[in-house]
Amino acid sequence: MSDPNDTSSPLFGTDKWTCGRAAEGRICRAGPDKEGQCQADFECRPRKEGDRWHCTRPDYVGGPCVEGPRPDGTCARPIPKCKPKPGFSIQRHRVYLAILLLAIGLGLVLIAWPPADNAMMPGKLSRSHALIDECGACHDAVKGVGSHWGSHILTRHMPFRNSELCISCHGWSDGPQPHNLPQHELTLLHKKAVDKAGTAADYTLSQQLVSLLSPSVAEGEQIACTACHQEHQGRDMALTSIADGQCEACHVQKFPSFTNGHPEFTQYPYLRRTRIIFDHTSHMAKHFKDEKFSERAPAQCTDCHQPDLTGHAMVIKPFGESCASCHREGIRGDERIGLKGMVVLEVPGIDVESLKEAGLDVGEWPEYAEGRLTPFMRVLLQGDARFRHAMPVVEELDWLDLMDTTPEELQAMSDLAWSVKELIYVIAEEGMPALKRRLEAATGTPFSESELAGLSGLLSAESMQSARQAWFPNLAKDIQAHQQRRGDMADEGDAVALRMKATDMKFHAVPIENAEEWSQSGGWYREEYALLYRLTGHADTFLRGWIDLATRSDQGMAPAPWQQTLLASLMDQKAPGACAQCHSIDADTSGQVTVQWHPFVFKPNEQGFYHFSHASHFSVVKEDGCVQCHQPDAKSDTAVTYKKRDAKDFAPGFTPVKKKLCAECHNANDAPQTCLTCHNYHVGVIPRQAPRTELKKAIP
Amino acid sequence: MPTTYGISLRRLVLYGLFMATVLTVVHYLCRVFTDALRDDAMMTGIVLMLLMVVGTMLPLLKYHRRCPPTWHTKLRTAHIACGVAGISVFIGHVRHFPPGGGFEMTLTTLYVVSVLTGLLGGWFSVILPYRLERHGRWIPFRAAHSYCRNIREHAEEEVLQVVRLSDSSMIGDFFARHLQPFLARPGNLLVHCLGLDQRYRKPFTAIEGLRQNPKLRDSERKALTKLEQYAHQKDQLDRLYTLHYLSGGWKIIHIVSAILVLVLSVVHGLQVLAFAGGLW
Repeated sequence: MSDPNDTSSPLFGTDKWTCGRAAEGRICRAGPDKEGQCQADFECRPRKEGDRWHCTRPDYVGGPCVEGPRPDGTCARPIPKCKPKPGFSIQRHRVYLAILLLAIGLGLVLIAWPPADNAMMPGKLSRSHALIDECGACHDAVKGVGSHWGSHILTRHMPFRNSELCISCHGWSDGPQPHNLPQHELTLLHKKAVDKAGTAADYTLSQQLVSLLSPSVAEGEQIACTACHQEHQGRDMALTSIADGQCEACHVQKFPSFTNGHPEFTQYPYLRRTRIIFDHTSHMAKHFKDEKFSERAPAQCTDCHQPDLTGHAMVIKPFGESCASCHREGIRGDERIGLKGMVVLEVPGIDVESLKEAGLDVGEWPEYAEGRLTPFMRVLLQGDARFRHAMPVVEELDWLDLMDTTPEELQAMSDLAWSVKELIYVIAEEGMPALKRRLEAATGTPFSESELAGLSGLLSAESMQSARQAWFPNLAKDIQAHQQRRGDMADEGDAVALRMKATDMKFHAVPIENAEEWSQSGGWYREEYALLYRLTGHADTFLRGWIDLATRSDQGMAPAPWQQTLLASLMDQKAPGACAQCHSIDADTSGQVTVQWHPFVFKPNEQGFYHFSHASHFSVVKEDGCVQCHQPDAKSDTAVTYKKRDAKDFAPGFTPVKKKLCAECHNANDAPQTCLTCHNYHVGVIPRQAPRTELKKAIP
Repeated sequence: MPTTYGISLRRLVLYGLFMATVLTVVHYLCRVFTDALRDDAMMTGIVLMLLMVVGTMLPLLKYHRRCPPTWHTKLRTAHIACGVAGISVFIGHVRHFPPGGGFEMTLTTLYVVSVLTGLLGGWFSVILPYRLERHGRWIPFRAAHSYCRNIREHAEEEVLQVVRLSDSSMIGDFFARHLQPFLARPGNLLVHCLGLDQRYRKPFTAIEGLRQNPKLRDSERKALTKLEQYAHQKDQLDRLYTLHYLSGGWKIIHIVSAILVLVLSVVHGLQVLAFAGGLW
């Protein structure tokens, strides 16, 4: 063997190619070249010493040969050319190339023909979605096994298309809009928050980085469901668990925790005035101490309030249990001075003589009638074109003295008188169909039977006929004669009614001594030239029906002027029923009016930005009870604020709950203080989707 | 500062610190991305892909003709650093638990194989040159076959001579049964790979067994000693073969798995883009 330290040892070719005789152990010292060509020529390169050539064949291939070099100095043992084999290096590279091509092919196959659904699963689904076994249920790119998802790679809005699948399954109506709020509201909230927020220098590096990376919600960027609810993170992953930092991503006002930096409460939990007008301070300080009411006054908060079934809200007990003991009589009108019922229909007092002198005959008219048109009659006459023209002309006149009036005013007064007579006639003759027709003509909207039942107060035919008989005994003849003179009637329906029944029945109406007392429990009664309705009590359907009519308008539309007049008269503080004393009237920015008939009712599927469970906190309330959090504010004038119709401009009657009070428990050591402890991300109506069942298929 | 296993403790500590630093940064960035309502897995995936591509390209740079030989060590260090950083990013990417799907599991397995062979290769490149220097004379591997043949021819010549002189076929039979197969081709690779003692190598136990035979003549005994020397020389060559295969073998598995990981990662990335979307 040759000396390993011999630096003159042959190179034996390169790593890339191996001598073709290597397996035989007959490797030549020249070896193959870089291109894989055999470089062997002779077994040695003879060395010349003096005049003689000497063989230099190394020992490991047998040492100097017997033949020795030729006279010209070339070796006498030429080596036949071998066929070099690829060396380790080349073989390795060939394997790498093959694997690379194989992998690329495999990749292309996977893109073109994706494997079964469960073959591609970055992580297990959470327990809520564990039974979903089809990728296409959540991924829009895949609508079932075998579809070509490769074509969706460049789809930029895939997260939002996936969100639509989430929304469709969960039955939401809104898209992935932050907080489910419209953009203009978000922009408004953003502006408010920017004004309050600190400078960037106040924030940590993480907060600044998060702000830099987070979506620009104020500029209309949407947030896909997966931004917060990340799936494929194992069975135990809580999908609704959101880190506080994630909330801060969009919020310009950033702080480390509730106890450290959260803004003080300014109004919480009084974000709007209560729907039912109730001044706790005045009731507790004044009325409950009054000897007249002290026995009936509640002793505890729970006499009027109780937790609802969910335990979240403290709701007001029904009227009968909370307010009725003191307010029942007031609603029925027992304590009213003067008329205890509401004048619904009344013959207005008119200077008929002046009209006759001017040649305007209104037929028979009660001589002693003194009243004006009631709000109800104004509504029922609203569909009468002659009335609509006449009323503005005569509105300011003294109807009982028409001597100094112009011929136009007299004509208008005559038209108004005939309109009234026609109204009384058609209601008496036709009843509910006429009433319905008149209401629909006034409002332009259809009325259901139940609405009509409320608005009519179930007025009986006998009551109406007796009133007509008493006020206008020959009404049919009068109107028929008037129609022949004029040749028309205001309403085609009324005209048909007249033609059908143009006769005056003789109806002997027996007067009742004290009709008001007779109708003590509610209902219709007549006094002289007025037909009155006495309320049956709280939540009377007649009064409520007419007040609802006064607020009836299309979404975002203010009520018509006649509706506002009606509402003003019915919701007057001294109006029968005294509804306005407790039920507030709210108006939104468009002017649409809502009468708040019911107190706040907690609806679990309607979420605001906050949530609070009263029942969860009962155990931590100390001896002060509810007052521990809800401290009455003696300085606040609650009742005054209800004169406005803006529900958010109010005095709550209680001081706001202090943040310090909450932080006694909700801090780093005790109760949780994450954002979601008190706040909701999704606001609005959260739907609960029920499964669709085609009955025809389910039950053949 | 080499340890028993040939690993520099200083280097180990440095890589450990580097890995911990990258892991901390990755966790921090994941938190920031999650808080910013962005997909942190997408971020770590892109970073991991970049690290893998850069890490793959670095060793290839040494084949560039303008790359000076002094850079080779630097490139190797950078390659290892990319790999170590990649491990940290990968841990962040899979969120500390293995994926559930067959495709992702395959990808993870290949990545783990690539990482393990890389670590093994790093270790081999530290210890093998040292062992090659310590245990064997320096022999050009390409000439190993010739050396092997030379040994075999010398051994055969020795056997023929002793058979002729002693008029006994004992050594000849022994050679044909035990030594000829051993000298014919590389053997005992696993024994050398595991670094086991001489008694686990077949020819030596056989030689020792024959030496205990009382019928062995002096000339045969001398020849046996000579044959044992040849066996030792062949054993040195076997060690050379083993070390050589080890020094190159890990690289084959490492590179093959790395190629598969790279290509399948591209598929995985495209799949994620198609399924989850590009807005992140």
